[in-house]
Parts: sequence; C-alpha cells; structure tokens
Amino acid sequence: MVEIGHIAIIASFLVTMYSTFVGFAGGMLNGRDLASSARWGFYSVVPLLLVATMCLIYAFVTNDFSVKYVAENSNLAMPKAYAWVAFYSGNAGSLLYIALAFSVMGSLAIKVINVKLPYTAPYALGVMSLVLIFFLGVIVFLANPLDRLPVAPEDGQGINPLLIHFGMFIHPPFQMLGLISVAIPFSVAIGTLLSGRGGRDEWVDQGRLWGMISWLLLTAGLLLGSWWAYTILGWGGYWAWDPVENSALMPWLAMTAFVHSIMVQKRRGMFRMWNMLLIITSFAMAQLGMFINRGGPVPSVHSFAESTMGWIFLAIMAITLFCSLATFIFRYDTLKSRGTLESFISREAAFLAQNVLFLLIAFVTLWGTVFPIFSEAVDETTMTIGQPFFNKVNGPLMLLLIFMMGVGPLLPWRKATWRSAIRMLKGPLLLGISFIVISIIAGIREPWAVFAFGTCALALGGILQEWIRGTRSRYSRGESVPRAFIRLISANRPRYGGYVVHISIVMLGIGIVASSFYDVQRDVVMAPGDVETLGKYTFKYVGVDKEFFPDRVKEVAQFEVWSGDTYVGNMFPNRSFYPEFRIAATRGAIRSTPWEDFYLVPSEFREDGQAVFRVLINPMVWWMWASGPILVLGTILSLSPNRRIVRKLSLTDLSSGRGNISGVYTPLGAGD
Amino acid sequence: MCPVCPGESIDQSQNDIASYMREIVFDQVESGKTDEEIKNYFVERYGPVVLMQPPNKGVGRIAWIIPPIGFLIAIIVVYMVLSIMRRKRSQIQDERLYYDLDVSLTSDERKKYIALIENEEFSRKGKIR
Repeated sequence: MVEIGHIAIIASFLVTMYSTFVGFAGGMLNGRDLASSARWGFYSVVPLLLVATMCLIYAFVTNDFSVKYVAENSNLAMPKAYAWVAFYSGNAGSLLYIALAFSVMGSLAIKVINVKLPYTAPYALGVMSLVLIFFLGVIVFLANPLDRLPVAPEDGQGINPLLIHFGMFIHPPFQMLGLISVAIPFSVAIGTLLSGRGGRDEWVDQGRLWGMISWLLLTAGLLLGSWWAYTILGWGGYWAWDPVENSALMPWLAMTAFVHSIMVQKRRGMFRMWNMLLIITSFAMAQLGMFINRGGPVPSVHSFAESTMGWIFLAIMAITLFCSLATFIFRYDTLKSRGTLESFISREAAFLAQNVLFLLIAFVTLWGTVFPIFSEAVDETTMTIGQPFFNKVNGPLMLLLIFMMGVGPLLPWRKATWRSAIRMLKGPLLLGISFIVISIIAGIREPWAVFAFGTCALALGGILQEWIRGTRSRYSRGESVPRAFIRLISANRPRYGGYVVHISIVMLGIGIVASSFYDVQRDVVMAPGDVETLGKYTFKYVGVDKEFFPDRVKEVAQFEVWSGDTYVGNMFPNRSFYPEFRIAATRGAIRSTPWEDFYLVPSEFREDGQAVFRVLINPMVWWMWASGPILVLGTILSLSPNRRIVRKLSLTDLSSGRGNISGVYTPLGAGD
Repeated sequence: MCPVCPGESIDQSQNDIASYMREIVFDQVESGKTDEEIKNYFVERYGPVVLMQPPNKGVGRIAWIIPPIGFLIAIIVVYMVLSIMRRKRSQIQDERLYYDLDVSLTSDERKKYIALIENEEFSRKGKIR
C-alpha cells in the first residue's frame, strides 16, 4: 500500500514538472495544444495525490507503525476518526495535505481561467505548477510522510493531546488551504504580467473571484482558530497575538486590502500597479506564515509541525518575491492607469487610505513578530512582544479602519463636494455620536470602549442608511417594502454583499471590544459543596468524577449554576492529564448568551478534594462567532454572478439611446 | 510570560512553573508590593524576556517607536500619492475618462450619459429607460 503512495507522489512530481515547462512554452509559443496538454497534466495530479493521501490514511487506520510519520503522530489509543487529523498534524503530512488541497483548487481555477482568460491561462498554469513543484519537491526529497522506519515499533508516539478536539477537523484544513490559495490570484496576476496583458484589466474579474475565495478561506481559518482557542486552550481568551496567529493575520490583512482595491481597478481602471504589488505582498506574507509555522525562529504555541526546514520556506519566499518583483518591473510600462484621481473626497481616495491602513497594520504586526530576533541580534537581550504591545499599537489602527469602513462606502466615486459629503455622512455621524452619549450615560467610562462603540455605530448607520435610501426609492416606484429590499440587494450583489460582510465585521468588532474591556475574571478555590458568585451568576461545586482511559486521566467537575435567581443547569468543565506527554488539556464549560458568556475552567484538582477554578464573564463573545456565518453569506452574495442584468445589456441598445441603466452599470464594474 | 512554555503567558499556561509564578505574584501583591516591583523581581531572575511587552528603554524603545513612525510615513505617502495622481489629471482631458467605451455617441447623448454617471442614484430612480 505504502509503496503505491510513494510511486504516486513521484509521478505527481514529474507530471507537475512537465506541466510547468509545457505551460510556459504554450504561453510563449501561443500553442493551444501545448497549453491544453499542460492543463491535463495538472488535472492528473489530483488523483495521484489522492491515492498518496489514501495510502497514508490507510496506514493510520491500520496502525502501520513501520511508517515513520504514522509512528510519530498516532498510537493504538487514538480514536480512529482522528486518522484524518493525524494526517496533517505533523510537518510531512501537512505538506501533502497542502499539495493535495492546492492541486484540487488549482485545477478548478485553471478550468475557469482557461475559459475567461485564454491568453493568460498557460502562464498562470505555469506559475501554479511551480508552486506545486516546490511542495512536491520538499515531500519527495526532504519530508516524505510515507517513509518507512528500519524497525517497526510496537506502538506509536501518539498525537499531541491538545489536537484531540473537534476544531482540529476544520481549523487547520481551512487555514492551510487559505494560505496556499493566495497562490491562485497571485498566479493569475503574474500570468497577466507575463503575457503582457496587464493594461487590459481583463484579469480583474478572475483576480477578484479567486482573491475573495482565498480571503474567505483565510477568514474562516482565523475565526475557527480563535473559536478553538476559546474552547480548548482554556484561558478564556480567543486571540493571543502569538507569532503563528500573526503570521496568519498578515496575509489576511493584505488580501483584505487587495479585494477592496481590485474594485477600484474594475470600476475606474486605476491602481493597476498597486493591485499587482498587493497580491505579490499577500503571497509573500502567506509564505512567511508557512515559514514561521515550520521551525520558525520565534517561540509559539503552534509549534506542532515544527521542523528544521523552515529556512527552505524562507529561501523560497525570497526567490518568489525577487522573481515576481522582477516580472513586475519588466512589465511596468503595461500598467499605466486609465482613470485619474479627481478629488481627495472620493471613494478612490478612501480606498487608497484604507489599503495603506491595512498594510500598516500588517507591517506593525510583522514588526512585533520579528522584533525578538532583531533585539537579540542588536543587543543580545531576548525580549517578548506579547498581547499588550499589539493591543496598544494595533487597536487604534483597527478602530480607524472601522471608521473608514463607515465613511468610505458613502463617498461617491470620482469626486464629492464637502457639502454633499457632509449630507451623506450626517446621519451615520449623528448615530455614532448619539451612541457615544448613550454609552456614557449607561455608565461605560473606558474612553477607548466608548469611542469604539461609537465608531461601530457609525459604520452600521452608514450601511443602514444605504439600505433605507435604496429601498425607499424603489418603494416610491411602487414596489412593496420587502420586495424592494430584495430587489435592491440582488441588483448590485457585489456592493450589498460587501455591506453584509461589513455588518459581520461590526459584530466582530463589538464582540472584541466588549470582551477585551469588560471581561471579569476570578480564581476561586472550592471544596465540594461550596457556593461562590461572580456577577449575577451563582455556582455550586458539586464534586469531581475521575475517569481513567488508557492514555489519560480525565477529571470532570460538576457545577450547578444560577443566573440571578433562576437555575440554568449543570456545567461540566474538565481536565485531562496525559502522562506520556506530561500535558494537561483543559476544557472549559461555557454558557453562552448573546449578552455574555459564563466560562468555567478548572486549573487544578488538589489531593484534599479542593479544586482551583478560573471563572470568567466574557461579554458579547457570542457575537464574534455569530459573525462568521453572516460573513460567509455576504461573501457568497457578493460573488454570485448577476446573470439577469448581464444578459439585458447590449451596446447597440446603449448607442441607440435605449440602454438599460443597470446594464450600463454592470460592465463598468459591478463594484459600486 | 511563561519561561518554559512557548508563547503563553503565566496567566494562560497550565504548566507547573506558571502556576508557581502565579503564586509568587499573588503573595507579593498580598505583601503590598507595587506592580513595578513585582515585574522587576521577575526581570532580575529571568531577564526582560518574561515581560509581555518590551520595556520602554534601550532596545525595547525601538519596538515602540517604529509603529508611530510607520503611521506618519503612511499618512505622508497617501497624501503624496493622491496629490501626484491629482496633478496628472489636469493634464488629461476629461473626455479621456470615457474613451474606453467603444460607443459612438452624439454630443447630446454623451452629455446625457455623463450626467447619468455623475448621478449616483440614477440606477435606483430609473428615470431614463
């Protein structure tokens, strides 16, 4: 079985090499047959890597410890469902997962791009194959998950107990896929540069489509990761500014800037060079993320897939950056802007400011992440850059970003007068200010929190104003209110889908602000029968149950909890100790309501029956998790094609003066 | 910051050393020491690496100074880029903005069309069919 997998991996490596050469040749010689041969080569990598993956998972399920990777990452006691988790929990396996996921997504992308951008597609295919070659090469020559051990051990070393959690099934796959999928819009962009068609803006739609898909995957990875940290790491928080978290955040920030500024190119033919640079930066940051995750130089809680090969990733990142910038400079002259900026008070200017702000946050995060290396080199003192630093530095910048999110979409394209801008912004600004006043009256004294709530209200007010105005003008034409609202949204999906995403970001912001300024925390020592209170919650420690498993000892505490005078039920926080790893995994018990989370974590069970618990009240964390589905919905909405309107458009209608208005709008760019 | 577990503070960490350090902090707070004194106590033993944020002196100050400088540079860059883009505009005729629309319009139609684009709300009001 394992040997079949070996052959499949080597075959896929060779096929990808073939695809690279033939793909580039097809692009340069404009050979359709060459290009389609390269394409089919790339498609065939998918089944080959699937076979290799099946072999590895089969080895996990059958406990074949003669395979080194299986012996290192599982044991007999591991539940069989976790074979899938174990598959990507180590370095070599995660590389195989990335290669597989990228080949699947890349094949889909190539299929679409080949139809939409026939001249660019072979080059894009070549770039994607190069990326895949790198991963397959590392697997073949350095870290093959199917390598055998000379002697098969009796039992494996087991999987890291912290990874035994439902979140492991979804967070890492999304995160890794998100990071590698940045390579797809990157390939489209570089392909466009190579084919010399950058001045035509034809890549914009495909760049936006794959950019947004990749952005969505990155967002999902980040949100699921925080959710996982919140429920399993058991300190009551969800984001710690850990180096690896930062390295996933940085490409997300750059991609967020990209999916916004690509709209300016779509609409106005501006920012052509800027978009190219943004996507190159995003991909470099995604590679940096993979480097920091794998034997990176900074200590992190994520050091599961650590290995000595981090430096190869760094070298490849440098080479990629050099080559793509060289291509960019080489094709510089094809990227002159079509439109020009007319005013400082315009949406274009707002987009630019927003873009720079995103990059600044990414840069500051990068700076904080690598500073320990810097200080060690300069002064030989090791320092830590932790949560307080990032909160202080990035917090205000993010607030400014939410402000931009409220103001930017209200400004018109091209230019606005001060008067019209004020007319548009009056409502949201008033709402924001009144929120600030209300918060102060309601007893919120923390200046940053008051300010942040006001800004969130402003952003929300801007979106509502747009919806109400749009619905009203349709209503005045005789459509019923719900119908007018639905029509409004479906008539310009990129725009209103974007607003839905913005609403989810406001929800996220409210959750983050409320929970970082108003969390209450207490450490209590309790004997069975003791009753304690925190806030409006009263909780009684009933006792503890000890359960013995082959690999761990699990202690489950039982609590009876009242909220005010009403009994709300039992809660069972627990703690498992894994003697082999000398690791304890705690699992908090959370009672979640939209208003606040009541969170119980055991810290220590003492011999004498007493136990130490950490009790937290985290306000409004619920909203952060609720924002996730809305964000996904909004992104899908803004990506869904507008067939009905596109069909209505015809240029002859336009020139004869019968042009359908919404039709005129769409080809200019539906991204208003 | 916990000295043995990578990337976790003593508040987060489940490690024995972390809980021991928590107890030290607790005892010292009880005995009336200020935050500053307790931090110094740990820095003396473990070095500045135990702090969650770099001290605002020596090399640590560089960490704090760079972000505001970056912010200033960002503002200057945005301003400069915008004004360069605006200056360019005056050299280009307004008509060029629409040259890519491969449609021949009479001057009347053209005016009408430009007026349409200028008006943000035209698609909703739908006055022209």
